Amino acid sequence: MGRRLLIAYGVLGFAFLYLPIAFLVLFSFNDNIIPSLPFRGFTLQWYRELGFDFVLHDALYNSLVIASITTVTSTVIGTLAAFPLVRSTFALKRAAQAMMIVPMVIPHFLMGVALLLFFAFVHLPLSRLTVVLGHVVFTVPFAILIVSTRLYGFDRSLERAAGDLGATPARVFWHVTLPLILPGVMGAALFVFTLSMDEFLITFFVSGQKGTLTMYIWSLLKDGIAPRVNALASVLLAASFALLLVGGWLLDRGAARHSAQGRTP
Amino acid sequence: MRPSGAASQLDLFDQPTRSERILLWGLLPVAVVQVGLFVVPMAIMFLYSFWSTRNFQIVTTFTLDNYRAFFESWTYPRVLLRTLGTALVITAATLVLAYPLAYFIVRYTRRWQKVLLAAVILSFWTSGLLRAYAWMAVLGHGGIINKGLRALGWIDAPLPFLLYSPFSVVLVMTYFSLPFAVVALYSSLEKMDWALLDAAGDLGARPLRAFWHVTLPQTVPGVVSAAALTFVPLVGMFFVPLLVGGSTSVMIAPLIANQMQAFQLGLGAAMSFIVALIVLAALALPWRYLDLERLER
Repeated sequence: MGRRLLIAYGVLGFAFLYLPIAFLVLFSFNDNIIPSLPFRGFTLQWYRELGFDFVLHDALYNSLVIASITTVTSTVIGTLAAFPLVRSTFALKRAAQAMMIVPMVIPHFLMGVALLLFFAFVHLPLSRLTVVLGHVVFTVPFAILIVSTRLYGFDRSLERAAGDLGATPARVFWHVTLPLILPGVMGAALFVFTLSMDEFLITFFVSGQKGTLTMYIWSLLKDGIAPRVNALASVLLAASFALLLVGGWLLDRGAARHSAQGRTP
Repeated sequence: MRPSGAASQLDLFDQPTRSERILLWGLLPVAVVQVGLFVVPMAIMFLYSFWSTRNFQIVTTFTLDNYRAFFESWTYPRVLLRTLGTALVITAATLVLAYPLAYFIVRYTRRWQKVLLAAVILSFWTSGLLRAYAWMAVLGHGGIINKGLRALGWIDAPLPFLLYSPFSVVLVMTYFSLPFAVVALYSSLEKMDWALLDAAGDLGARPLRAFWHVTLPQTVPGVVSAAALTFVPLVGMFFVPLLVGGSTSVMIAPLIANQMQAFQLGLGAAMSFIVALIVLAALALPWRYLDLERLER
């Protein structure tokens, strides 16, 4: 009985997680100016309207630029940091790891307020640059975490073998280590990219007049529900899901490869 | 973990000390970022909390006026307490809902486990703003719940408490926190020794008794970390109370944002600092448990 109850509960739990999103997508195709019941017929009108929304296009362009720069910066910094955090031993290692976690869980509005005051203090005008800086500081810990999980499962005998055969450390890194962790790094990059695209509160405080995608969505949401917003949300959620699934697949593939090699004596 | 110190020096084919020292340089960029864009801004915020603004200019003479203004105000401490109270209610609701879900994923989903876990992670990695919007559409007067119940003839008018109420804030924030808590509890349940549960069953314990005395105690560290990790972001809830909350759902983060926009930088900084202290205290809680967990091994 307990088992059946739990399975029923599990089904309900996943319905709770995904039904609102399913309704959102469903009503984006509804030929009705209210995105709800009754379902009057299928239309792509709301999607077509997105094509003419130039404010949206500007905001999207801005967000893509910000997310791209953030992704490259955070992934490189995160990968560099993951190596010593996994492989080296040093004083205060646990403190360093704790330091990494705090910006990950701290409410974003605190970081937003602190960064806003900091930029005012150093007279740095709010721009794309300040948004990128805000996004880098909260995404780096995620990049470190994801790359670290790959490094923990890394089979170092391959590096030793290359070293024994006379490769310099730089060559070992370039020809052995990097190709092996690359799927993990790419996966981390995709996760960081979606984090940056979706970030709201830090952006709210430090973006100034530069409209980003989330700021634009925010301005739409304050006006209440509309089928056009459903269409936009569906496109963006689909894009996020696609990127995250590819990212997850890359991470998974990397892990599978390492464990397969780990089995060799 | 990698072997360290003396142990790795025994390895003749490795040069751990030299290569590890080179690796340490990799920490330099992240240290610059974390110090320059996190520690220093927090310190600047602390500094601002002792400054005042006059005619949109910062006056950099030390004053405790901002803290005094906060504690002497009728509204601010109330809003902070309401935020903390609501966050506690949501944390409790989240844990109660998340525990059986995590348990279900660990115990009863052999083949689908990875897919279901991915589905949980996916849902919290996608835009919160858009998921809040999805709920606005579901709960609204013309939303599917009200329309559906009316079509069934169960209600005559839209349910008033569904949207723009404390209920909707708790519901939507629980929805936001649930995946996070499930993942935290999952990792704790996954490490559990299930043979002990079977033993309790063999010795005649009823399922509920076995759960209470065997399963739950083993997952206490997981529950505590999940509670803290759920509670901390909730203290900063911002757009959900603004979008789905009513006039009685003013929370601390939107209030601070208003102060900042009204150029009350000192007051905003002081209030942020008070919230930051609460957050740090809440984060210190699981730290102790994580240490305990290590001692037990």
